[in-house]
Formats: sequence, structure tokens, C-alpha cells
Amino acid sequence: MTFVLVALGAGIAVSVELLEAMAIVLAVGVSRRWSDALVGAAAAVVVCAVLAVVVGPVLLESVPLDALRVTIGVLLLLFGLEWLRKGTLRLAGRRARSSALAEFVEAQEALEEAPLPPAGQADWAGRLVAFKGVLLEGIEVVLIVSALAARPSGPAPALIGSAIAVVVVLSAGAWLREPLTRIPETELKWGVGVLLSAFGIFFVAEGLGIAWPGGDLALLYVAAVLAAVSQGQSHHLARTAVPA
Amino acid sequence: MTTLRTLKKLVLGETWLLPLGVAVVVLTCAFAAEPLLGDAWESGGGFLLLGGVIVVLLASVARSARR
Repeated sequence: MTFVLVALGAGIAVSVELLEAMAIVLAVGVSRRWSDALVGAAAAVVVCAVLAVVVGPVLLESVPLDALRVTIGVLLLLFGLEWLRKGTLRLAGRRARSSALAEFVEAQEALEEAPLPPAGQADWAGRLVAFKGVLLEGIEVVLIVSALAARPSGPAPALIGSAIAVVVVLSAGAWLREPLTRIPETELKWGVGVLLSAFGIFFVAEGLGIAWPGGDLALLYVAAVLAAVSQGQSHHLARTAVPA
Repeated sequence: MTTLRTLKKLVLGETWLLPLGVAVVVLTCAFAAEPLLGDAWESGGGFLLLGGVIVVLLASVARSARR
């Protein structure tokens, strides 16, 4: 069961981040040139791959098992709680909803003032926007997947979930523009926040020598409690007047 | 400076309350609650940790909502 939950958590987290990165690359490709968009994106992928090769083995080899569990748990808690905080505010209407389409429009606007160089010359503005967009989302993916993959039980579930997400999102790239508006990103990110936070609490507790009642089932009830608390606060905030 | 700020936002998030709160909860559990609870720590410590994290989450959302 932990296998499925880790794969699911990694898969959804990677999907959401990839969607945002792809929206930026699409914006550069559509409004500038595809070759420059792909060069910028490819350079960022190389940087992220190097980072992934360094972060995973360093975590596994240099940290003792219990300390590793606490380290992974704290990392996941930091990511998960931040996503959950934003998700709770978004669901309550206290923050703009998450949208890859907005990233698309923002990237296009950022490039409006830079003139497109003639054919044959590199479009550094376009490359830079694509590079930066993919790099920032990519680093988040590397950190989350490395933390989930560095579990003592092995990296398989996190890597399988991530691989499925990459295939699904990249396949969707060809017809992405229109469906971008229909993806419930806010709810997806909130769900990832719940999952990552639950994993974080579970791993930190294991690293501190705690035996959860029910074993791996604890992941489910910890996630359920977090989801209930977040939904409760979101509903409460939605009913409360916004401070002046 | 911009790179450092981006890196901080990436790892620690947009607020200081969450990373500080998580640090306080984990350190309190590890160094204060565990010796105090004794045998009860192994079976009940997880719920203490969960409670602490929930308090941090509620506080950070409430603080952000007030802004």
C-alpha cells in the first residue's frame, strides 16, 4: 500500500510541476521560436539531471538510517505544508487559484518587449525564459522525488510514479493549450500537499522511533486528519469576511 | 541575491512560520517529548507530532489569511 501511495504522491507532484514548466515552454515556442524554447528547456533538464544524480546518492550514502528518515520527513513536510497552506487559502478564495494557463500568459507577456532576432540568430530572451521556467519547476521535482526515492525500502515507487507522470504530461503537450483551462490544478496541488505532509509526518515519526498503530495504514489516517483540518479551516475562512 | 532568494523560497516556502514551526515541533518531539513520555512515546508520539504539525499549519494559514 505504501508503494502505491508513494507512486501516487510522486506522480501527481511531478505532473503538476511539469504542467507549469510545459506551459512556459509552450508560451516561448508559440510566441517566439520552438528551437529556442527547446534549447532553453533542454539546458534546464540537463542541470536538473545533474542535480538528481548528486542529491539522491548523497542522501542515501552519507546519512544514517534514522537521521535519513527524519531528514526526508522534514523535507517532505516543508514542501507538503507549503502546498497545503496555499491550497487552503485558494480553496477559501483568499488567494488566486493555481493555473498553468496563467504561467503561459505571464511568460508570453515577459517576452513581449524583447524583439525577436532574425532567423539564424539565437533568441537569448526566449531561451532564458524557457530555461528559468523549467529549472525552477525541475528543482522542485528533483527535491520531492529524491526525498521519496531515498526511503529505506527503495526508489522504485517514486521513480515509477514520476515516469508515468512524465509520459502522461509530455503526451498531453501536443494538445495542451485548450485543456489547460480545465485542469483542476488548485485541487490537485491541495491533494499533493496533503499526501506529502502525511508522508513527512510518517517518516519523521519513524525516524524518531515511533511505531504507528496500524503500521503503513497510518499514512491513510494521518492524510485524512490533515485533509479534514485543512478543509475545515478553508470553509471557516470562506465564511469569514476578508480583513480590510 | 536573487538566486538565494529564489532558492530560499523553493526549499523553505514563502513564509518563515512554516519552516520555523516544523523545526520547533520536530526538535521538541525529539529532545523533550521522547524522554518525558518514556514508553508511551513509541505508541503515542506520532499523534503528538501530528498535533504539532496541525497547529503549525493552522497558524500559518491564519497568518497568511490576515495579510
